[in-house]
Amino acid sequence: MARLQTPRSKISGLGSSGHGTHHYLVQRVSALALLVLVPFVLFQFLAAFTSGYDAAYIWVGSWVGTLSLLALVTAMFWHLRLGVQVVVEDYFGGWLRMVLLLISSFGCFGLWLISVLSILKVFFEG
Amino acid sequence: MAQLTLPKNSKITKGKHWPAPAGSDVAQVRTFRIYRYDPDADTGPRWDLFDVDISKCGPMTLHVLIYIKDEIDPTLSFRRSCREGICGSCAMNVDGRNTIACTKGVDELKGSGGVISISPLPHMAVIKDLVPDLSDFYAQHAAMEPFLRTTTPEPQKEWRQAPEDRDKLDGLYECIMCASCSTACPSYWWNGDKYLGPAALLQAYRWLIDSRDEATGERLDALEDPFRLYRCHTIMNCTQVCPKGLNPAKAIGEIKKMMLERMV
Repeated sequence: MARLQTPRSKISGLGSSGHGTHHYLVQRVSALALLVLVPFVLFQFLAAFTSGYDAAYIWVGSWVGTLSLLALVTAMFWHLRLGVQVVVEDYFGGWLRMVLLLISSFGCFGLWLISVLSILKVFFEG
Repeated sequence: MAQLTLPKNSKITKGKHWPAPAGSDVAQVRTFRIYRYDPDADTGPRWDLFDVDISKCGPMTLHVLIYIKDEIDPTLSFRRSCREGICGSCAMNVDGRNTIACTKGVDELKGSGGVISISPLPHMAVIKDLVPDLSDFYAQHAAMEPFLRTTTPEPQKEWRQAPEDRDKLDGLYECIMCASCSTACPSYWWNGDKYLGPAALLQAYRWLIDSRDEATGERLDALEDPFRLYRCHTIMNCTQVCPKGLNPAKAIGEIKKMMLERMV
């Protein structure tokens, strides 16, 4: 049965959720961080990598390499999670939206965790 | 939620062709492809073709529609009132772009393959032919509480406002609520039940920036939502199509700035 509801009631819905600005702000701040981190890490890593695997390994295990890579993967996966959330909210509704948001959350967190552990492994072993 | 295929019975079929009457100036005949839908008929929507001798009607698209209704097919339905770009009633999609038919000159229309398409505002339920259901759009406008909200006792004369504060309302108060902007916005298409759309948000900013209003905080609270405000991805279709030359995208950007200002 079609739900009898006035347009005003439909538009008001459950009211304002009271958040959104934080997501908007973090997405932009992480984008700014990536704007600096991506070229920096790429430049450093490629410079080390051209000298061979061992040099690249040493760079990853150095303080500069470890810290910049940790910052990069954190900013990257956080930004990815927030961006995917926007895309999912745009194009999917209902239960599918919930499922996709959960998958993207766990996926991003899992990839971040693997990346961090890998970087730390090189740092402590190197 | 995005729906990428048309629902059953919504596929548009080929309709009737109304040739120009004998004696028409062939050089002046232009073909208009008009969306037709009659809820009382069992058939789905269709495209009707009208060959119109534009020397026999006025220069605007609305003149052509009125000519078709008066002289060719009286069953054609569309909204119109002021015929001078003030009421916003005749908003529709003309030649692929939302606009108001009364200020859109036929000479501006390029058409596609010699045919000019006219359809209702996109992604809205159609009542009949070129008449969309704007109930939700008006409800979104009403939800913005488009009036002065104050708690200070009303002054004996008027609420005073500095000229420079009054200037801030220029480019905002002129909205005629034709819905061209909101119905041109993909975010509004996909999430029109939750996202307020450019027209309502332009109206919201008009009251947020009004120096006399005392409910700025409450107004911002009502917009603090990932869907109501933050579905705007600065696509800019709204600004591109506004027949009054307003800039809803900028107004939405200003609201986001106000949100950040009170947070950071």
